[in-house]
Parts: sequence; structure tokens; C-alpha cells
Amino acid sequence: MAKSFVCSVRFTVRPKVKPREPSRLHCEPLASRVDPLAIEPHFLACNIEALDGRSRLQWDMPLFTRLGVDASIPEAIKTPLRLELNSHGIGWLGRGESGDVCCVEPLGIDEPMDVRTLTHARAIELQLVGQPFQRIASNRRARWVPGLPVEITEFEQLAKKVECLREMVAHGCPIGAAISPGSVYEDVRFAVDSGFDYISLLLDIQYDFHANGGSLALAPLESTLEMALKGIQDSGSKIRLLVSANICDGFELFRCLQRGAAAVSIDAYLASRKPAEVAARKETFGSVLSNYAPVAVPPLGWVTTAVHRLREELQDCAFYAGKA
Amino acid sequence: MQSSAAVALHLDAKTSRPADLRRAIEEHLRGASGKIADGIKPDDSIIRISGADGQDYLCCGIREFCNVTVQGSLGDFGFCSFGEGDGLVAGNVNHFFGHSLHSGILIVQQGAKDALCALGTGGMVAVYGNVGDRVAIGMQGADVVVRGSVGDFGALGMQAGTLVIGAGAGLHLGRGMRGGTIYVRGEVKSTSPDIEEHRLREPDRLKIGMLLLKSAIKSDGKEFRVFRPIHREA
Repeated sequence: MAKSFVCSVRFTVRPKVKPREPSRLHCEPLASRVDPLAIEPHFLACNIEALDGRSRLQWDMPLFTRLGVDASIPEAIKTPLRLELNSHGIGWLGRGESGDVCCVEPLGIDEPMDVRTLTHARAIELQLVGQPFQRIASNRRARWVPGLPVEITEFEQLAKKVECLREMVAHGCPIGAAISPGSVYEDVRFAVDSGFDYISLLLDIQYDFHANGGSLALAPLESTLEMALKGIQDSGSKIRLLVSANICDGFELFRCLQRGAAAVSIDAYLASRKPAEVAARKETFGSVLSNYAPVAVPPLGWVTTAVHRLREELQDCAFYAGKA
Repeated sequence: MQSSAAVALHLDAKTSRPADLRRAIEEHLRGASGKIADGIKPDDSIIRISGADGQDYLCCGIREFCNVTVQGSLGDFGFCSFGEGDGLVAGNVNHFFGHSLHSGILIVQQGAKDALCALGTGGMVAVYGNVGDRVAIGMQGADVVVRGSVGDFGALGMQAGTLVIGAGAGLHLGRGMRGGTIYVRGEVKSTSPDIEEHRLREPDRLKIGMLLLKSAIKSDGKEFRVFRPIHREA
């Protein structure tokens, strides 16, 4: 008895997926290297432009630090550290002064919008993490739970709040959103639709700035970055992505930039380069109780050395990629 | 609010963006030099804004000694981060009116929608009509006086300040409240377990009377009930 086999082939029309645009630091093919003497200066610079086109945030290096917000650092150390990193063109997230060129003002989910504080900011970053009105230590994951501003209950309201911030800051500045990894794809698309100018992805928190530990890993870099980039691509947006991850190597940091990040946090890199004598707890540097103790300001020469070395590594990698 | 000052600035909100209006107000008060212009006393400078029907973000970020009078109704985020001056809105206001209020007095002659005076840190908002849900959400030190009723989730997550309600409140009053005081007259549909009722004492009567006086609301300040958050042991 002959069996009849029915073979059905279903043809589905797949939506055209646009291939991802190569990042600005992708490795150039040989055909593009016809003129090895052509050097494009400042190719490593981080450029974030506001959606309304009125303002732009620019750093000399595609690097930033969140130590001003995440880590418990005494003011006596925070100020020289901020000035030191600013002088190298590295973005500083935290309270700054009007003369700073790289300061990004953070705004918590339960913080009022103070026009006097925000008016001097080069950029404003909404921290879409945490539980409102609860001061939880930075080494607890509950501190970094994804969360909307306390007064926001609908999607359109967040977009209006972002627009309100734009209106409030007279000179205009980019508005960013810091998100922690939960549903990264959906969160990125939500942030894009809310009208943010850039997204800061928090994958690793350096809460203690201590060589012996003091970091909190929230999600792996590779898969989370991939999801975030896919979310941006599917949104059809050119929004910039900043990444805070546990990267302690210049080459890995460059790889992250090559994959599409506009800037990468150097907190883990600095913590890994910190000399042992500075990292000791007795120095009160990075201790939770250090604000109450007499603070001995350690010399920050090692920061300069680490930043110089990282800069050289990045430029070396960029040169290899045919970018500088 | 309205004084007989000679210095007044008339602005039309239909033809200008909110940021341009603010710049015009600042230039009017401070002049090109950036200082308060001669002849303008801080209490006397009156700004009259017309044609503001439904416009969002109007008067946000103004921190000047001035009296701002708005003819018509406002959209969302009106008088956001306002401070140091007085404001009067002749019509209704939409969501997030007086968001992040810093100081000064804001008076709304008709009603307001949701999230009135959210995250306000100082100053006072008075509304002569009814108010929507989540009034005084996350408020951190401001005072709110409502002559009418308020919707659900009043004083949600309030940290400090005073909320005076003249004609009843909706569901879940005082949910997540950690500080401050609620004075209510009229029916309260339900209160949150986070608050408890206290006896109306003389300091409370004085405070209610003072706030009603500042709001230009005639009332004897009686028949109010007092709610404060329950202080639990950590």
C-alpha cells in the first residue's frame, strides 16, 4: 500500500531587517587604507547630540566614570578626582561646577527638578533605578532595581518629563537615561520612544572603588550589550549607548566601543590599577564610614598614570583599526 | 497678589515658546546686565500672560521675585520648579502643576488634574476647585490647600509638608506616607494603613487657619480631621 506524503511548504514574508551600521571604530578594510598617512584627529571623541539639535555633549575620550554617584568617596577626594579626570576629557557623572566641561548631572527617581542645579549641567541623566525614598546601600541589588520616576504612571508622562527638562534648561542639553539590566530590549525601546538622547547601561557597579573588591555585577556584558543594540536598531534610532561594565583591559574596552558603545566606564579599569597602599582600608578611601572620619587625601598620581596608559592603549587599538 | 504697580509685562503665550517667555521675563526683571533693573521692586513686578490655553511647560524654571498672572488654562508641567515668586492661574491646570515647587505661592482659581505639586520641596499651592488623583505625591516640604475634593491616592509617598483638603478625599489616602500632615474635612472613602487619625489640637487649628488665610479662602478651620503617618519601629 502506497503511502502518500504530503509536503507543505509555507512561504512567509520576512520583514526586511536592515543590517546594522558599522560602528565608527570598526576595522577598516584594506581598500580603505590606501592612504596610511591620513589621520583623522579626535576620532575617539565621544559625541552625544540632543534630539532637538540645539546642544551637544562632547568629551575628548570615549570614557566616563560613575564614581561620583555610585561610590562612597569623601568630598576631599572627590573634587580633585573630578578635576583630574575632567582634565583628561573623561566624563564625570555627578554634581559638578559651572566650569566643568564634562559633568553630567544625575537626577534620581524621587528627586525634584531643581533648575538652579540643572542649569549649569552639560547633560542630565535620569537614573531609572532604585526604590523611591529608600536609601539602600550601593552594594545591594535592591539599590539598582529598574524603576520609573515616582510620579510617572504612563508612558507619555515620561516623555513629557523629558521634554520639560529640555524646556527648563535654557541653553539646552542632552537628556539621558541610566537603566539597569532587567528587560534590556524592552527598556531600551521604551527609552528611545520617551525621547532620551542617550542611554547609559549599568552592568557593573563599582560601589567601593577598592582594589580588593567592591563591585557588583548585574549582568554579563556580551549578551546584554547585544540586546541593547538590537533594541536600538529595531527602534530605527541612532541613540547613543554608554556602558558601565567590568572591563579592566584597554583592548576589551576598545572592543566594546567597536561593537557600538559611544563611551565606556573606566571605573573597573581604575579599580584594577589602584596600587595596594592606596587601596588599603586604613586610608579611609572608599570606606562607607569615611565621611565621618578624618580623611587623608591620597595622592592621585596613579590615576594620571592609569589614564595615560589607557589612552595610549586606546589610541594603539584605534590605529590598528585604521582610525587614528 | 495684584498690586497697583506701574511695571507690568504683557506676554502672549500663543506666539512664544515657554523658554522664550521665561527669557523675556528674566530680561524684563534683570535687564541686559543680569541684575534687577532700576525702578523695579521685586514685589511690584507683574507679569501678565495671555493666550496660554492648554500650553505645556508654561512658566517652568522661573526663580524670580515677581507676580505671574496667567489668563486661561494650563497644560502639563505648568509652573514646574517655580520659586521665589507668586503665580495665579485664572483657569484650570492639567497634570503635574507645581512639580518640584521650590518656594512662593501658586493659586489656581479653578480645578487641577493629577499629581498636583509632585515632589514639591517648599512654597504653597492653593486650588479653589477639585483636584485629580495623586495630589502631593512624594511631596517633600511644600503645602497644598484644596478647597474642593481630591481623587484617589492623595499624599502618596509624602515625605514632609501639609495637605489641607476641604471637601473629602478618594481611596487610599496617605498610602506610603512617611511624614507630614493631612487635614481633611468631609468624607474620606478609604485611608491607607500607613496613616492614623489624631485629635485636632490648637497648633493644628492655627496651621490650618494660616494656610487658609494665605490661600485667601474663607473658612473657620473647624471640623477638620488630622492624619499623620504611623511611626513604626525600624
